[in-house]
Amino acid sequence: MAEEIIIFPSVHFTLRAEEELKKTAYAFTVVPVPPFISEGCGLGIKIAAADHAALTEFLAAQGIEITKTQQL
Amino acid sequence: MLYLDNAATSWPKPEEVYLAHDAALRSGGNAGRGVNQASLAAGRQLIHTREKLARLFNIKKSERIIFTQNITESLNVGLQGLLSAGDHVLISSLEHNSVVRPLEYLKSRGVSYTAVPCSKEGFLDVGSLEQHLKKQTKLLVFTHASNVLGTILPLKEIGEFARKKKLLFMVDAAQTAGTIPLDAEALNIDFLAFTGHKSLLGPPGTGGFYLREGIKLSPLIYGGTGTNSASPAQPAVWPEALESGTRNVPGIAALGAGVDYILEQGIEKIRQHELDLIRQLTELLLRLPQVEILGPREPEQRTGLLSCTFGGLSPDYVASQLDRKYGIITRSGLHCAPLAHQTAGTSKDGALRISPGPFNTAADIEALSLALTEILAGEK
Repeated sequence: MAEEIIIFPSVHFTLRAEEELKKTAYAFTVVPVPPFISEGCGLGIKIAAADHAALTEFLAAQGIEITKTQQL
Repeated sequence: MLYLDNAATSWPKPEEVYLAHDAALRSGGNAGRGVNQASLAAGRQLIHTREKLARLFNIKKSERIIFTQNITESLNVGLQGLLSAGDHVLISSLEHNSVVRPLEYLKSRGVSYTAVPCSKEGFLDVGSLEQHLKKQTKLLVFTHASNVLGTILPLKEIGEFARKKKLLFMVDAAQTAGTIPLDAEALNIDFLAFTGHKSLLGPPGTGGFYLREGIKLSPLIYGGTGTNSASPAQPAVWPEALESGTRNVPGIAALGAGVDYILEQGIEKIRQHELDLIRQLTELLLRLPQVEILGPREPEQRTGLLSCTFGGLSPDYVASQLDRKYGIITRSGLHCAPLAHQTAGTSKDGALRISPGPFNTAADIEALSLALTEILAGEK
């Protein structure tokens, strides 16, 4: 299954995203960011690539800033 | 101990506050320092308390709430971070030293300020602000309520004045956050400073501030934030940009439990209890001929504290007698607010301040009244 990681600008936004995603049925995990990704805060949220559009839209609606998403 | 000094720090706390502090302290973890379970759990404590404070103060973006160790730090961050050489500030003649002393220091950096006179009871005529404005006026800094006189200032009108004149509006909510509703948005507050350990019912060592988005603020403290560690430059993303160094996670978790208590009880109910006790206290003190009550006579015009003097008898003496002979805790002196005492005409001997909290009862006020009656009669 193709996966990607959502990178947030800070730990605050990463954990806020976690709080909001817990309320949904989407599968996700809070993970350390791989070394080759220089942006963000060191934390990210791993999701199924197929959920990219729905999840990023959901998070934007909650006022959660996303720095980038990176395919794994 | 009969504790009536909640204006200094609230005591006792709700049981949930002690439990939250203990649980967080035993859990360990440093928020924002790593991806391990302990660090993430600590980080979640910060989020939860930020969100609760955002709800209490009607703040849309919780990342604009910064945790500090107390409101003095919050006010210092705000004043030192918002002001530059040439700027002018308006304050009231009731402000606490946590506003006055940073401004005095900032004079050395080219900042000036004017203390707008309030009446002897602490009332502010918002119409009088205009005459004190200068071309360089940038910021209005006002306490929500005086820590000496108790007088509640008209924040709505001041906020409207600030908006009309395109000035920044900073509020010191030390004596009101948690007992008097504070809607940062409706009151046009740009910078709201609060303390965690008074009416928000958290432990000492907690506090914070809110800054409206879009307003530039230089940090007071630079250092490790747990993010962008490779960069020598301070990160710009809030809240971490303003929170260098380890946060007091157990304290902030406990503060969250305090805010939960307020939200569950309802701030209107807490305020009503406070008003009932202040009304009872006022009526009892009015029966003692030597007592002069400072500030407004109507309880609704004051926050939950009342200061008084005793004719020729020193407030320090009365406070000491209350403490040592009756086990009743109050505070005498100048209360770190010499400007307020100048306004009230009590600079020489200060005053005795009585400040009941949510866990005080009518019986406590009655006991204080009896003790004061005896002390003033010279019986003990």
